[in-house]
Amino acid sequence: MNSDMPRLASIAIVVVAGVSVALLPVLAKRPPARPISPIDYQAYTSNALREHFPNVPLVTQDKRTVRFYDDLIKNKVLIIQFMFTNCEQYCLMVTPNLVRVQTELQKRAAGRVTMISITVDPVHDTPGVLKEYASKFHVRPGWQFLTGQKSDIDQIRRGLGVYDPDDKKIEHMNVLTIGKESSGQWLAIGGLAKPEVIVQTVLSLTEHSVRRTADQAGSRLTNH
Amino acid sequence: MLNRRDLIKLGLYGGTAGMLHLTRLDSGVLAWALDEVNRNSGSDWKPLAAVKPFTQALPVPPVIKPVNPSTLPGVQIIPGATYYEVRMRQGTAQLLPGMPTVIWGYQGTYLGPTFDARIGETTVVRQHNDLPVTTIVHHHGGHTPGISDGAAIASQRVQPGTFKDYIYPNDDDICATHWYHDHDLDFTGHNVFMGLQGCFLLHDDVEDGLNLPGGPGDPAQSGEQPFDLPLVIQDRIFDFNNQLSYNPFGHDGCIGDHFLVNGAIQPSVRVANRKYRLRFLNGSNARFYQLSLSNGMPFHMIGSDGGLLAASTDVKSFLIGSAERYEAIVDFSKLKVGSHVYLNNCMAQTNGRRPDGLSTQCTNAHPGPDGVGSLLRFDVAFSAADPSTFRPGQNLRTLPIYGSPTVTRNWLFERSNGAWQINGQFYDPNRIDARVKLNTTEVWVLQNGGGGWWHPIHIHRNQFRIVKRNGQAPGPLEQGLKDVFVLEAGDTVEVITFYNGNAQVGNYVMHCHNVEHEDMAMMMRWTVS
Repeated sequence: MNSDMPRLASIAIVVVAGVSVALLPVLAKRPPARPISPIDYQAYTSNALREHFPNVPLVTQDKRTVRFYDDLIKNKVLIIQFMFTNCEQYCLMVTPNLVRVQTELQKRAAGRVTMISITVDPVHDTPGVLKEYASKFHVRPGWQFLTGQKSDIDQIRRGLGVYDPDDKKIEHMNVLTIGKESSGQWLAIGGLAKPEVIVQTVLSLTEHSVRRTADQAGSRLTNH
Repeated sequence: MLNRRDLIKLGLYGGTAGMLHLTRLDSGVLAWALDEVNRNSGSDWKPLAAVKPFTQALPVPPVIKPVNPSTLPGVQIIPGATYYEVRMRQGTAQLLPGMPTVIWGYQGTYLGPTFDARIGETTVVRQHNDLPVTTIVHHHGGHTPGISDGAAIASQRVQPGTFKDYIYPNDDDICATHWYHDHDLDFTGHNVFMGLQGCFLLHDDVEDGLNLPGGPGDPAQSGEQPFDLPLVIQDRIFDFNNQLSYNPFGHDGCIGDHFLVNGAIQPSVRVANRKYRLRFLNGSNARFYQLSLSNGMPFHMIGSDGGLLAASTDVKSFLIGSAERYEAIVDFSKLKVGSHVYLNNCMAQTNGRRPDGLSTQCTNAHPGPDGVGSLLRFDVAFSAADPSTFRPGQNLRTLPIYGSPTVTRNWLFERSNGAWQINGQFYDPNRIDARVKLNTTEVWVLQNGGGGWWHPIHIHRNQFRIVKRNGQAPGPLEQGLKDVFVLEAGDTVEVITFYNGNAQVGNYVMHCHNVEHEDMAMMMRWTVS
C-alpha cells in the first residue's frame, strides 16, 4: 500500500475495507502523514480521491510490471481507455481516434499528457498481444497498453466508475476517463468524441496549475 | 456496528464499497440491503457529527447591493443599467457541527447573494474568478445575449485570476424566479455541488398589481423573515471531516444523503399565521423531489420556471426536478401560533437513474439516503397582518401565445455507447446542431429514448410553453412558462417558443440538468442569428 497515504484517507479506506474486504487491499497501518487541510482544496480533494485508484500491479506491453496509482496515475495528466483487442465495435473505432489524439498532443503538449489503455480481457490480451495491437495502430511512446489480473482491472474500473449498469458486455468501454491527479479534477468523455474535442479537454487541464489565492492562504479553519 | 445511514454513505461514495440495494420486504416496507458485506467493522471510524433537525434557522441569502460603475474599470456604460461586482472564491460555511466546510461560492458564500431586478432594467455583473479552476456563469432562465448566457463552451470560460462582465438585458422575461450557477465544461456537477449557485429574482408591474404576499406593500416584520421566501433545496454528501464529498466518477448522477434548504441542513423558519409566497428551486445535482406539507394543506401554485401561471391552481404535492422552480402561496392563517408544519419530500431516490417511487409516510425528521422525510419545519410563531389580496384560483397574468411554428426539431435523449447522447451524438462544443432564425416560432419535440433513465432537460435563452406531454395537454403546473422539462422514462414533450430579441444572438445550449449527465456529454450547442 502507498506508504505516504495521509491519515484522512486511511480512515476512509479502513471503513471501506471493513465493509467489503474482498474488494480492497488490506491497509497497512503506518504512522499518519501530515494531514492535508481542506483549505488546500485541490490537494485535499486529490487525496480524498486516492481510494479510487487501487495500487494494483499491471503489466505493460513490454512486460514491465507497474503499479496503477504509483506509476500511472500519481502526478499525471492522463487519458484512460478500457478496451480489448478482440473488440470488433467501439474500441476498434476508439483506438484509431486516440491515435489522432496522441499525434495532436505530441505536437501541442509533448510529454505533458500520458495515455493508458487497459484491457478488460486480460486472459487473452497478454503483453505480447497488446504489443502487436499497439503496433498495428502505430501507437507511439507515451501510451501504454496494460494487462493484469481480471479482479484488479475490475477494481480499477469500479473506482473510475467505468462500468455500465445496463450492459455487462460493453461496460462503458468507449468512455474515456481524463484527469489531473494533483488537482483532483476528473471527467469522462465519449471515446468517439472528435479528436480535437478530446485534445482541447485534456489540454485545458494542463493550462493552469494549482494557484493559492490570497483568500485561501489567509483563511484558517477552526475546530481542527 | 454500522447503521443504515453509515452504510449507504459508503455505498453511495466511490463505488469501491459494497453495493446497496433498496429492497421491498414482504410487509411493503423498503429496506436497505448490502451485498458483499463484512459487518465486522472494528475500525476507529467515527460517524459524522449529526445536525439535530430543525434547530438551525432558515438562512435567506442577502440581496446583493449595486456598485457605482466608476469602481469597475473598463466596464461598458449602459444608460439605466445597475452594476454589481461578484467574486467567485473559496470560503467556509458552518454546515455541520464542528469543523467548517470548505465551499466555493459567489462572494465566497455557500449560496451566492440574491439578485433582485426589474423587467427592463439591465443588470451588469462583473464576475471575478478567484478560484483555481475555470468557471462559466449561467443566468438560468434569462433571455440573454449569447455572449453573456454562460453556456458550456470553451470561449465562455473565465480563467482563474480574470473577470468577465455579464450583461443581462432582462428585457423580455416576466417576473420570475431565475437563478445563476456555474456551467463550466465538464465540471458543472462539481462546481455547483461546491456551492456556486444563487437566486436571480425578476419583478414587474403585473406582479406588483397582484399584491402578492411579500410584495412592495408587504414588508417583513422587524427581526423576521420576509413573506416572500426563496427555498433552495439541495442534497449533499459530506466526508468524515465535514467536507463536501463529490465523486467525479459517479456519472449516473450525484445523490446526497444530507438535505439543505438555503444552505442549512433541515432548518426551521418562524412564520406568521398568514399567507406566504414560497419560491421552490431544486438546486440538487440529480435528485427529484415530490414536495408536500405534513398537515395536508394545499400549495396554491402561482408560478413555474419562467414566472407566474395564467391562474393559480391548488395541489397537495408536486414533482420538482433538478433546476426546476415552482412558486406557491401557502396559507398558515388557519393554524394556531405554536403549531408546526413540515415540508416533506415523498419521493424516494437512491441513484441517478430515476426515483424509486413515492412513499406515503413522509413526515420523518431523519430522511434516509432515499431522501424521504422532512426537509424544513415551519414554526407558526407569531401573528402578523396580511395586506396581500391573493385568492386561491385567481387569474394572475396573460401568457404569450407564440403563433404557428415554421420549424419542428426532434431531439432524442438516450443512453447509448455507455453514456448519454442527444440524437446519437455526444456533446461537441465545436459542433452546432441547430441554427435558429430570429423572430421565428419553433416546436422542439423532446423524447426520452428509454433505458428507464429520467432526464430534466433545460433549454437556454428562452422560456417555452408545453404544447403536449405524451400526446396530451400538459397538466395545470406545466401550462405556464418553463425552461426545464422533466422527461420521465419514455416521455415525449413538445415545447414551443418564439425566438425574439435582436440582442439575443449567438451560442446557446440544451442539456440534461442532471448535471452529471450534462458533464458526460448530454448536451448540444445551437445558435440564434
